[in-house]
Amino acid sequence: MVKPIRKYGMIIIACYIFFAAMILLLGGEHYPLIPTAGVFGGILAVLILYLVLLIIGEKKGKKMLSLEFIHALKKYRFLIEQLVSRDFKTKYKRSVLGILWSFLNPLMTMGIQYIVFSRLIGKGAARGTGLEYYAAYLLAGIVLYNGFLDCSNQAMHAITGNASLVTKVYVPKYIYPVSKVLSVSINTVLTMIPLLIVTMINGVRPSLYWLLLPIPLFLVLLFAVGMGLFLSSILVFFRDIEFLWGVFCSLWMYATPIIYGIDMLPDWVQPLEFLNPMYYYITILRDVVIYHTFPEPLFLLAAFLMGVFMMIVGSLVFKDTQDQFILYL
Amino acid sequence: MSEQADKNLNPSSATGATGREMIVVDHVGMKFKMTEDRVFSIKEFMMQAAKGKLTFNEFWALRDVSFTVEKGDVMGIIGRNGAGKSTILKIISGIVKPTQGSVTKHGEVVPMLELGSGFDYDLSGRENVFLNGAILGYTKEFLYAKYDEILAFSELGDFINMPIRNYSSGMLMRLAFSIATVVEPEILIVDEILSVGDEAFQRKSHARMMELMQGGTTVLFVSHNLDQIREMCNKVVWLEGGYVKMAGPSEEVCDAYNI
Repeated sequence: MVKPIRKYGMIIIACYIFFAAMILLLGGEHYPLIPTAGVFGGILAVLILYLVLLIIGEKKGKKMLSLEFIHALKKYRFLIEQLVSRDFKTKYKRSVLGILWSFLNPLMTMGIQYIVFSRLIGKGAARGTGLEYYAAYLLAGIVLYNGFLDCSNQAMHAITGNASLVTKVYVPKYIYPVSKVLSVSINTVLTMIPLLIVTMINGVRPSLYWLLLPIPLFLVLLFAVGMGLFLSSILVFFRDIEFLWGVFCSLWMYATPIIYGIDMLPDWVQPLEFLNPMYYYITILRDVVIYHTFPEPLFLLAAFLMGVFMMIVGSLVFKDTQDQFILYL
Repeated sequence: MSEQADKNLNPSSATGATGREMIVVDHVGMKFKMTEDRVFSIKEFMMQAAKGKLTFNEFWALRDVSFTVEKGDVMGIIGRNGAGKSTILKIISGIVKPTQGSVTKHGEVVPMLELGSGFDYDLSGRENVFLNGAILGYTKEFLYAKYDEILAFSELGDFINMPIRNYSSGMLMRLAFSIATVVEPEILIVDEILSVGDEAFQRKSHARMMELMQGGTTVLFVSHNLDQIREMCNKVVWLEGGYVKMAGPSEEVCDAYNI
């Protein structure tokens, strides 16, 4: 067991170093270089120390919470792979275009919205309002928002949709929403391809900043898993939450600057966007892909914290209610 | 006589761990809340709370159930419908958490409570072998190694590559049964295993069940067929109304149950 821990630990640390380096390199002008590098170095030291502790604990057979989590992950990895692969195989099984729909869907939505709104918004937008690359601007919002919408809807039905399994076999119940979120995330990553293509068509050149693409994706994923855990457990007890959620998401879409620019909102409304998690994720995505500017560090922090908060809430609700699921399925 | 027999199975009177216990059921109780009207939506919840109708009737499916299953035992669980047999099996499998008491297991439990859990009708038979296998807890290596054996036992041949929505119900059963019995479990839980397929396959599956149950596997077996219980089990627990009515060597309990 030590070898896999070492292997994955090294991969995580390597990713961390990569992104920390990118952030330092590209975001240099936002904050003093040396102290920030120091902070990143400090975090790195903590990570390495934690990895060493895990390996020691594993060798000695100590009971650590994270080790139990890692063991569970290893034990159920095959099951998660099977569930995700099932989702993918059945998603477009009986349709003609199959997986192409993953690309066509957001493109068609964007196309319609572009045609309808570009006269009002996109055209004649002066440089600096951020709307000059309107097609890309739209698509970025659509792709990320739809990704999150899909995630939350699929995850919400993860428990009730697998009721026959939950009542007959023992599998840790969080596997169901987590594997659904994973399936949808893979799909969302695929939709990034048309986004990058459209951005280039719009006249933006590829840049080093595109390497930061995983960051907004990871942040949304964090948030989506928490939300998925939360919704899937609530749905078991209150079936009408799915309708409420649908309405809520519609409102949410209009409340987020997907179609319009934030400057179009009245002055007193604009600060309210800071309460909107999707605003952060979409802005970070647009900064990275379209505007080639480094996302505001506070944005990154706020987005991360919101994701962590949602994870905590979702996990707690799920953990406390999961023993009751079987009585209501 | 039955009290003496009971002592053999009751953990609280055991003189100490013999080291051979596989499953220890300790004073397990299971309570279900029965609402007059199942509350499934927020609106109904609010309305019933307002009306003060949100009281629950309690139903104790199991009360103070205790017994020990030792390594190599084939323990039968008998009782009328509604006595709590399926509930205790679900608790032992870990699917349901008991309201009271606890269950300690000293081995990996493979439940055969339903065949074909998780079968997805759009996937082929082969893909479902891996999906169902993963759900039952088999590892990837095990499934790859045993795949040919599963295929041979099911006698499905080339049909294995077809989507299972095209299978007949007999074929589905054969596939499910083959996957479920390729297992080599430490603890096997069998809930009234169905007779599947035609004569020839029934004989084959019965033989396979016997092989599993007499191969030193610890088995918990629920059935209404007393002959089968007598034939295969060495100890029996008789549940009635959620209580352990009697427990002991299978001959004794079966004789008592018949009367």
